[in-house]
Order: sequence, then structure tokens, then C-alpha cells
Amino acid sequence: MSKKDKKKDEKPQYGMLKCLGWFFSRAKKYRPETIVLLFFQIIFNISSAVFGFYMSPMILSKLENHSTAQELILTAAFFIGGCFISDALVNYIGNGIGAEGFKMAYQVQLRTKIVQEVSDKTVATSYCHCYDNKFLRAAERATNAGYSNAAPTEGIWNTLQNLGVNIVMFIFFTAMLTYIHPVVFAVTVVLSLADFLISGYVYKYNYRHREELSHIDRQAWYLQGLPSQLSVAKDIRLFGLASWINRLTDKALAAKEAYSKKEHKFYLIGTFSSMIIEFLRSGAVIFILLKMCLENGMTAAEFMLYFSAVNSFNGRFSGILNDFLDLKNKCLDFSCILEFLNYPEPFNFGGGEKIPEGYTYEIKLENVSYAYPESDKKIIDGMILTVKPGEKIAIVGLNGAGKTTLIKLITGLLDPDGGRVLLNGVDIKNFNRAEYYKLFSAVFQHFNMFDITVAETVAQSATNIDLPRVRDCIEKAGLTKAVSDLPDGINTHLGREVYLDGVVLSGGQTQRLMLARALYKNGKILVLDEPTAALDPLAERDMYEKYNSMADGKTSLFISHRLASTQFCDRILYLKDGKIAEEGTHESLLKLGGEYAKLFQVQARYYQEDFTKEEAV
Amino acid sequence: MANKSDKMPWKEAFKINVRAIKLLNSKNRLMFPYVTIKALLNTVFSYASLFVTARLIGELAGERRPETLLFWAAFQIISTAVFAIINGVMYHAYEVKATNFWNNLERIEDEKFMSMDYSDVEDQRVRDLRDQIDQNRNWSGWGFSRIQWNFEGLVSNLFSVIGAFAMAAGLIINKVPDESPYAFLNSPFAVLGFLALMIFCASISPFLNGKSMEMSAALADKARFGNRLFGHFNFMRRDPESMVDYRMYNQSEGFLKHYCWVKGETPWFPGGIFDKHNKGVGGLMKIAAVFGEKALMSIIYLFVCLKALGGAFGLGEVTQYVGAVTNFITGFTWTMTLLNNLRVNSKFLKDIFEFLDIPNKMYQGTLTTEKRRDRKYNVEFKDVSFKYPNSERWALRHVFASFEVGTKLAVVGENGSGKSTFIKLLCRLYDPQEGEILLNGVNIKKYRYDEYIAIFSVVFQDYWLMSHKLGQNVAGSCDVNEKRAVKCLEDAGFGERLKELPDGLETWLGKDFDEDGIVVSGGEKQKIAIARALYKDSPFIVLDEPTASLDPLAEAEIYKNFDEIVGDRTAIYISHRLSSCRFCREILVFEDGGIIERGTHDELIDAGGRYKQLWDAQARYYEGEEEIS
Repeated sequence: MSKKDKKKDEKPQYGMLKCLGWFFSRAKKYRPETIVLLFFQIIFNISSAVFGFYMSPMILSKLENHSTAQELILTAAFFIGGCFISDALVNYIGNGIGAEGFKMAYQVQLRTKIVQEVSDKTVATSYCHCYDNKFLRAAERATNAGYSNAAPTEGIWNTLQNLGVNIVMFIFFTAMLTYIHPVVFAVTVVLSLADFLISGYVYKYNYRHREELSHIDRQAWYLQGLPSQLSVAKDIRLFGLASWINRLTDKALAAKEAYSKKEHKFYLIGTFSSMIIEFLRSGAVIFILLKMCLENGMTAAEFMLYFSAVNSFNGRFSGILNDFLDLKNKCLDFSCILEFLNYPEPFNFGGGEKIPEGYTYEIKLENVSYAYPESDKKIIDGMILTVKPGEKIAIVGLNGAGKTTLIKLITGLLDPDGGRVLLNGVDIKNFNRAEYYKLFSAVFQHFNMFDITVAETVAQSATNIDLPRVRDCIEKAGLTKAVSDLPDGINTHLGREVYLDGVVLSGGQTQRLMLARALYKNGKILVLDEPTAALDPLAERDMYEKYNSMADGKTSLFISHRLASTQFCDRILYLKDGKIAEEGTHESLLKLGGEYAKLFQVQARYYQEDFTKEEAV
Repeated sequence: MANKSDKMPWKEAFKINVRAIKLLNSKNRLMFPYVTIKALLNTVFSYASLFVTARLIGELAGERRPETLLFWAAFQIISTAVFAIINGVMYHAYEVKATNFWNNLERIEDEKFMSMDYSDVEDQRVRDLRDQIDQNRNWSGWGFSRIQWNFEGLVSNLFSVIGAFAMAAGLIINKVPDESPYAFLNSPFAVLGFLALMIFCASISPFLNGKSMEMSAALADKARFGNRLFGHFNFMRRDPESMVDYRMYNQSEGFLKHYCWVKGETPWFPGGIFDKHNKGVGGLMKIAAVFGEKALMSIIYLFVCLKALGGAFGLGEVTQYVGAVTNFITGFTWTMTLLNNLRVNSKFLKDIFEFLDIPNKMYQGTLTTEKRRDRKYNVEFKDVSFKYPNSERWALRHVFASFEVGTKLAVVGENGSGKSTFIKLLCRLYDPQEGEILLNGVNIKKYRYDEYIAIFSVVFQDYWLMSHKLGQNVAGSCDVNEKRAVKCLEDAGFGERLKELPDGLETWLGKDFDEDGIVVSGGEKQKIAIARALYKDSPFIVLDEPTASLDPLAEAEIYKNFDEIVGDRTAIYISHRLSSCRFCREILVFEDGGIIERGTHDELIDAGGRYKQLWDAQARYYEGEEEIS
């Protein structure tokens, strides 16, 4: 446990000053108003605190001195008026976190600008980072740091404001307490500090038990929300899982409550210690003040003023310490953002060699090896391969043979650990990677769909859409009828996360739409990773034919489970354990009688005329 | 989903709040009583402290008797300590009770989702309603979560107001001596005038706050849209699959940024509707509210101090009365604000109850099914027609079908031809609009659902396994019959892997909750799902595309074991890979919501219809290999 703790408490890469410096530079760049408003907010809060502090004792002292009504009213008007003006300004600008006051708009915009920087990095970063746990952790923290109004990139304004006000008021009360009696000051400082340290320890209970807590918490939250997921809802009904889920939820919630009980029992130590410290502090102060009243003729109003000064001092003192801790935590998050934004990019994203012009390209793999991070298994192991210009390659193999990884190496999503990938003889590392991606029309199994219109999905652009071409691609993908049946045709929004009038396409329609998208992009190299799973036989055949014509004359790579569907390819690679185990045309591989042929027969047997039922058993 | 700016009548608002409190209290035992006690104690302690402070000040401003001063000072210090302990214990006890408050809110929804008709779970309108409820809760705190806050506020302010009355009674009772120039303050008109002015000023701030809250609530729809847009287009997915598309199609420059910053002029930015509101009406209203508070304070001070100047009471009482009247006003203001809040919130509660009150119509049958050892069940579709909710199209139209016991049936057809719908009706995930489905001659609606569904084991394509122990997943329960679970896993082809697992059935699936948990491949998952279906040991077994994510070898293995797996059960097998039809006795071919062909493989091939077309589409890839085999 202690070892793990140490690992988690890694020193932040960027110090507090550097983090604050960065944050203010962003503020200055995107929304300098935020800094000005912070300054005013501190001033107005201080003036409100001072007026409020003096108001009651000053009015009482007028009464105590039997002043005239006029004097009394003037005094009250002065202090209440001062309070009004300060409070009005504070409230107008906006106090606290969230939807209050006009400062919010600037702070929200600044935060979203920072979120945008984080998002830009996320979508552009070298692809290999999505297997890098350190990067992913930094990404998650950087994202969370901008997630809501209370998140560090916006919440820090509140922290800074409180800290500013507390520091000034602390100095103010220090002067006042020292002026009353040095002992009052000494007692207050020592006891406040003791309280802060003890409470600090006690209330860090959750931090000390954070692993246990997060485990308990995650288990409870994992179970919740499940019954609304369609696949879960179905299985709940079909398998009578409701009682199982209920029992597990009961258990998880009981564990949470049991933890909470332990936690709050421990907090009682804090309650007791604070009580004793408060007892000592107010005891000492009241008796010293009373002594001064009796011996030095201090007035009742002064007694009240000084007594509340002690309480306020205490509040400001612990306020500063808490604000500082808060600031430190927020800077930790900033450090993560910075670490994330400055995360080194192994891929070449600026400049680089110009990608050769041409209609077809040759791809060459020189002794390429690749293992996923934190894994010893070479998923691609010393692969040698040349894809000739315009050649159509099929890649087949069992699950886990390395098919998709091979595609990712060729498309430049991953860089090999050993060996080189060459495009027309040039190592692809030399190209600007973003430019290199433009070469490919790729259809993978997963589609990153957004709630944009059909036309925008095909063009993958919101501003620069060639409508005739979009229509043409939709037609080629066999979707024209389906699209014209949509409420707004090609301008219908897909998905319902954002636009409530959006539509959800069926799996088959989505796959066709992705074909249209690949057609529209019209990349020089075609890459298909099992684009026909979950299609019925006729639709599947139709898609194969479409892909076949799309691949016409282009260098293309095609992964499929269904071995026979690769027959339109010039060459088939049979992958096993990260190597090309067999290669050739469909016919030559069958003649070879190796693993490919065996696998093919397993599939083909059922389609053969002489198949008998007994054979199946 | 009524317009949130319309006001709900008070009576209805109270009724709906009482209902919500009752519901929440049943889920969070003792939480509401604890809140009440906590609030009561707080009020008592704060007024006791005010009273003692007033005595101290009074004595200091008056005779200054040392022993009296000492007594009140000691009383103050000791009582504070005692109260701190009692309050602390109470507070922590309450926090323990409130631990699962948020989880329980979620659970109320979950329980509804578990009990409601499946067709409602899938109904987009129901899901939209639920999303709206969740968004209101998570983004603006409207709904059930606000009940707790309102309740605590109302109770403690009520106590505060009552306490203030007791503490401030002396302010009216104590008279200014008649010879004083301030004797006019004794007149009932002065008192009434003071009260009237006070109440007027006191209502300014809650009135304005209420207005501003209504305005915010009215802007809520726009805010929700802005948040949805921003969340959807700016917070990036980080899974390896999504990361591919971002790069391959340059999605960020292509449209994400455009949606975020051009289309998505969020209402929160400078110049947006919230900003305009805050700078204009909203901001001014805030200033006016502060003005109301301060004016009120002035009036209180004026009245109390003038009476004191006139000699009605001393400095101690001034402290006490100012404190009490201020508390009274704060309590009053808050009560008004909270009542307004409660009323606005009621409309959000109405949405929640609209969701919770969706009637559970489907699963109301009462008949028990016959338990037949011989598994002689007969299922018959009699002229069944079905449309999905909100759809015009018949997903199934005039379907007749009946299954013999022990038969192996394949169901094929194009996407959208009605195959899956057929299965969904059979499992009563939906009920048909026309015609009926009979089990041994009785309409299946009449059976108790749990008894009826016990006859079927179904593995859909989108089955679900929990991040929990393997054994519990197979059993679908905390109580696992280990022998049976192992046998089923073996039958489903998971036996080899099971032997490798040191913890056996106790192994966790996934690493979410156990570092030693195992990550299983798609194929293995499918095998576990099949094992779960076998564990149920039902006379019917339905497999919907069970081999979709398997490679050819794994697929062949399942095919090979199919007869063993199925045994003497009636099996229904849906697949796009028609190869599966070869070992099924009978094949149903669906098209456009109807069964257009029915027969054995050979019969259908000879018939040369739709089935042959589908078959040939796949079989042509495998033509000509006879010469090799």
C-alpha cells in the first residue's frame, strides 16, 4: 500500500509558480477581463468585510455614549451604506462559483478555450499515445480540469479571490489583535494553527483511504444506470437478472454506508479537538478582554469589536491555509494540463518531406516488428512485405493474428518498434503525418459518429461540402432511397445526443454511409477492415462488389474473416503469430494445402453440395 | 414536458413535493428525521448563544459586577463546548445517513427501468424524458436532489423564525418611558408601521430572487442544448477506435471545431443569453435585492436603537433584538425564496413522476406454466402482426408459425426483414398488436412473465456480461450451483480456458474491480453468454448470430458442438451465415415482415426462391473447391 502511495504521489512536473504563470498567460491571451474582474472582486469583498465588521460595534458605541439620534442615524447610514455599495458591486460582478454575475461569461469562455487546447492535443497527438497509460492518465486529468464550472480552470478564480481577501484581512486583524494585547494574538495564532494541523490530519481520512474509497464507489456506480442500457434491459428480462442486480447493488451501497460510518466516526476526533481548542481560545480571550474592561475601562462596544476580531482572525487564518492548499491542488491539475499539452510527439507533425505525387503507391515493410506497450508479445514480428502499386491485397488470419495492427502500421497510426515502413521508398516517418493520413480512404470496424448531418458525415466537413459529389457517393453506396426517406434528407442530423430530432440509422445503413464517406474522401490507398460484419448475404455481396469497383486501379488492403470474400484480391496474405505464414492467390493457397486451405474448408464445408447432417455432428 | 416558466398552482406543488419526500424517505431511511433534529438543535444553540452574549454586553454596559460577568462568560464558554459536541455527533450521524442519497436517486430510475415494459425501455420518448431528468439534475440541480436542500432549508428557517419571535418579544413589550421624546414608538401605529415597512423591505429580495430563478429556469432549455453541443463536440473520446477516425478523416478541422465555436455559440459566453441576462435585468435585480436587505437592516437598527435611546431597554437587549429580528428576517426571506424554489422545482418533479408513472402494462399475467419433464411445449404464432412504437411500418405482418418440440429451426432473411422482431415477440419483449402467440394453446400474455420466460434461453447479439465473477455471470445470481456452471461452461467450449484460471468460477471478468480479473476476447465472451443460456436449462434455446465475432475456427467449433449443446431442446438459430442452416431441420425465410418460405435446406434450394438467392450469394465464394477436397 505504501509503495503504491508513493507512486501515486509523484512530484508534479511543473511548480506552482510556473502553473500560475501559465494560467495567467492563457487568461491574458483569451480573456484579460477575468484578471481585472478578480482584482475588483478582491477590493469590493474587502471593503464589504471591513464595513460589516465595524457596523454593529460602532452603532452600539453611539448608544453606549448616549449620542444624539442624529449622530446615531449618520453612523448607521455610513456603515450600512458602505456595505450596500460593496455588496451590490460584489453581487453584480458575481460571487462564488457558477451561474452568478457577469464575470461568469468571461471565466467560462476562458475555461472552454483551455478545454479546446486539450481537445486539439487529444485529436492530433501521435496515435501510439492511445496505448500509453501515462498519457491517458494525463489526458483524463487535463480533461476533467475543464469539465465544469467548479473544475480547476474556472474554480481557481474563486480560490484566488478568497486567498486575496483573506490575506489582506489577516493582516488587518493581526494588527488589531496585537494592538489589543500581545497575549491574545499569541494564544490565537498558536491555537488556530494547532486546530488547522489536527483537522488537516483528521479530515484527510478519505485521502488516506482513497483506494478503498474509489473501489467501493466505483462498484456502486458501475451497477447504477445499467438497467437502462438496452442490451442489459433485455438480459434482465430474459434471464431474470433483476434480483441479482438488486442484491449486488444492496451490497455495494451497504459497503458505502459502512465506509462512511467508519469515516465519520473518525471525524469525531476532529470535532472533539476543535471543541477543546475553541474552549481554550475563547476562554482565554474572553477573560483577558473582561479583565481589560474591568481594569482599563474598555467599553462594551469595544469588547464586542475585539471579541469578534478574534473570531474573524481565526476564520481568516484557517481560510488562508485552506485556500493555499486548494490553490496547490489546482496547480497540480494545471501541471497535468501542461504536462499533457507539452507531451512530446514522436510523430512528425510539422514540415517533413513532401509526399510524392501520383495515382498509385508502393508500400514496403522492411523487417517490421511491433509490440503493444506493456506487453512482451510481438504482435507483428519481423514482417517483410512489398505491396506493388495498384495491387489489391487481402489479409486473413485468426483472431489475434495481427491483422488490424498491420493495417495500423501501414497507415502510419503506429510506428514500428523495429524495421521501417516505406512509401515509394521513403520512410513514412519523414512525412508530415497529418498529410500522410490524407492518402488513405479507410473503413474500420468502428465508426466515430457525431450528431452532424448526413451530408456533413459523408464530406466529414461542415463548411466545405461538394454537394453533387456527396449525392453521387450516397448513390454509389446504395443509400439514396434511405436518405431521401429521412425527414430532412441529407440535412438530417444523425444521432440524438445533441439534436433531439436526429435519427438513428440501422447498422447496415451506417456501414453504407461509411462507404460513402470513404468514397468521398477518394484517398489514393484503400484500407478496409472487415466492413461487412453484421450484413445479410445479399447486402454483403453488394458491398463486396462496391468495394471491388472502388478499389479499381488503387493500392488496396482488405481484412476479412470470410476467406472467400477476398477472391477479388490479387494476393492473399495469411497471417499467423505476427508473420506472413502463407501468401499467394486464392487458388495457389488452396493448392498449397496449408492452413489457409484448411481454414477455407472449415467454412466451405457447409456450402458444399455433398454436405450431410451427420457430418455436422 | 411543460414549459418551465408556467407556474404550478401552490396546492399541486405541495402535493407533488410531499409525494417526492415520501418516496425519498422510503429510499433513505431516517434521513429526513435526522435533518429535522439537526435543524432544531442548531436553532436552539444559536439562540442560546445570542441570549448569553446579550447578557454579557448588557452587564458590561451597565453595572459591571465581576461575578455576574464571570458567570455569563463561563456559561458561554461551557455551553458552546457542549453544543459543539452534540451538534458534531448529530452532523456526522446525518452524513452517514445521507451517504447514498445520490446513488438512491439513480436507483429509483434503475428500478423503474427494470420493471417497465421493454418496449418503453426502447422507446425514444422515454429515453429522452429520462435524459432530460438527468440533465436537469446534473447541470442545474433541479428535481429530486433539490428536495433535500429545500426541506432542510425550510425546516431550519421555520425553527429560526419561531425562535426569533420568542427572543424579540421584548422589543414590542418593553415600552419607552412616557416622558421620553421617543415615546411615540410605543403607539400601536408605530409598531405596525415598523412591521409593515420591515415586511415590505424583506419581500424585495425573495421576490427578485424568485423572479431571477424563474428566468434562469426558462433559459434552461437553451442551456441544455448549449451544454449538449459543447460536451458532444469538444470533449474528445480517447479509445483507440475513435482515435483512428479523428486522424483518418481530420474530423477536428473538418467539423468538430465548427460545431463547437461557430454553430455552438454557447449561451454562457460573453454576448450569450446568460451574459445579457446577468449584465442587464439579472444584474440589476441582484443589486435591488441587496438594496432591499440593507434597507431592512437600517429599519431594524433604527427602530431598536431609537427605543433604546428613549430608555426602553439597555445595550444587551439591543444586541439580542437586533440579532433576533435579523434572524427573523433572514428566516422569512429564505422561507419565501425556498417556497418559490419549491414551486419552480415542482415542474421538474412532474417530469420525474411522469417517468416513474409510466404504466407497466405488459408483465401482468397470472397463470403458471405447466412444468413438463418431457419438455412437450408447443408454441404457435397465429396471424401475428406487429409495429414498433412510433413507427408506421409493419415489422411483422400476418405471421403464422408453430414449432414442434425438439426441432432445430433456422431463421434467415435480409437485414430488417423481421427475424429479430419475431424473436422479440416470442420472448415477450414486445406484444403484438394483432393476432396472438400461444403456448400449449394459451395466449402467452396470460402467463406470469417469470414463469413464461423460464422456458426460453436466449442469446442475443448484444448480450451483456457484468464486470463481476465468472460463476455469478453464468448463474445470473449470487448463488451459484458450481457443478452446473462448470458443466455449462464446458459445453459452451469455455472448458480449456476455465482450467487455466486459478480462481475458477471466482475469477472476475474484466480488471475493473480486481487486478487479477481476466480480459476475455469477443469469442470467449460469446461462449460465456452461451453458457449462461445453458445454465438456465430451458426447453427452448434461441441463438441470435452467436458466431458473429468469432473467427472461422471458433465458429466451426460452435457448429460442431451445436447438437451437443442443444440436446433435446427446441432450438431457434438466427444467422447471416447460411452455413448454419445445414444442420437445422427446418428453415424459416423472412422477408418484409412475413415468412415467405419454410422447409428443409434441400427443399428450399430446389424451390429456387429467396432462400436459394441468399444461399448462392454466399456459396459462390466457395464454389469449385470440391476438386481440392
